[in-house]
Amino acid sequence: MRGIRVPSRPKTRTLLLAAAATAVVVALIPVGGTYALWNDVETVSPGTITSGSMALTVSTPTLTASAWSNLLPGQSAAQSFSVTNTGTVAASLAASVAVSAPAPLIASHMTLRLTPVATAAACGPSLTGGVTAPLTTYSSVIAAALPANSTKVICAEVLLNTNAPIAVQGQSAAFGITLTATQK
Amino acid sequence: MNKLVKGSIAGAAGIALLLGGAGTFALWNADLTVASGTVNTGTLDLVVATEGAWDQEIDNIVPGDELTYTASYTVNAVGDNLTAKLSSNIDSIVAAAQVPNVDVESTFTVTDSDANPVSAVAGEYSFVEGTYNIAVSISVTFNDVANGNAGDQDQSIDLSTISIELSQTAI
Repeated sequence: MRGIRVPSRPKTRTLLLAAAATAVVVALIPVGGTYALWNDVETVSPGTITSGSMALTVSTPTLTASAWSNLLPGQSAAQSFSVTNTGTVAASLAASVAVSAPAPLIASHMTLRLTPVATAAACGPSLTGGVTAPLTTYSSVIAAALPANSTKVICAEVLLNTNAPIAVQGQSAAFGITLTATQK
Repeated sequence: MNKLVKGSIAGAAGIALLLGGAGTFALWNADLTVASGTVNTGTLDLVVATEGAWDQEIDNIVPGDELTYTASYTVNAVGDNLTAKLSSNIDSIVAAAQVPNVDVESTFTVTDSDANPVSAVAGEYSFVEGTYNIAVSISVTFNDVANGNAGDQDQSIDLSTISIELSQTAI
């Protein structure tokens, strides 16, 4: 008997605490009983679509009238302007002419030639590769391709026809060139 | 001699007696197999069947352009008691991504393995076990409007956040 130690009995308070802790654990189990349902996600990736833009600017909104003043029959004068497509899509460039009313007789004896050139310095009379037409009826595509964000230098040459009658002496004609960029 | 020592001696003698008898009896024996088989878990899987692509690559769309995106996905649902639902935000994304003169439309078609359509209820498709196909198509049409307005230039249509979600539903 002397050699055996009898463990002291747990105190009532300790037993009560242990029972309380067990009760808490038991109470938690049903809450943890919801299960994770399967789930799978795929992405659809068409990305972003961007619409293009188109805008046209002209370097010289007003050409110098004096550059082609005092023309004689058969004589011509040329000056250049540049047209820029500031948009993001390619265009073609067309030009049409409107002669201010009332159109003087001289207008029907003039010829306009619009020619795309590499630089303004290349602009001069009698260029080839452009579109030549009577001033009063000028309406034509002058540059088939005006890529996005590009500039074209256009040489405008005005010619008084060789057979212009003497009645057109001293006359002047005011005209405007309308440039139109059309989406290709 | 105390009680502990006496008890140990008595116990050792008892074990020795029992061992002495070992091997002299024929012990009966029988066994059975409990054929409970194998338990397999199921599958719920959404995978790309055909990688999505546009029918043409256009950096900047302009009036007159028409392009279509198509993609397809496969749902594999394996499980006797498996039910699942499928939903996608495609319609709301497409509805939000509108630009003047540009029509953006989506189609989202779910068919079962016999090519029978599965229809949606309140935007959700319900599944039981089987294989299903999802066909997604987005068409973009830039209408050719005479003298189109500048409001449709330099616009973005963001379709980058479209997703399809497949979720198991609680029974």
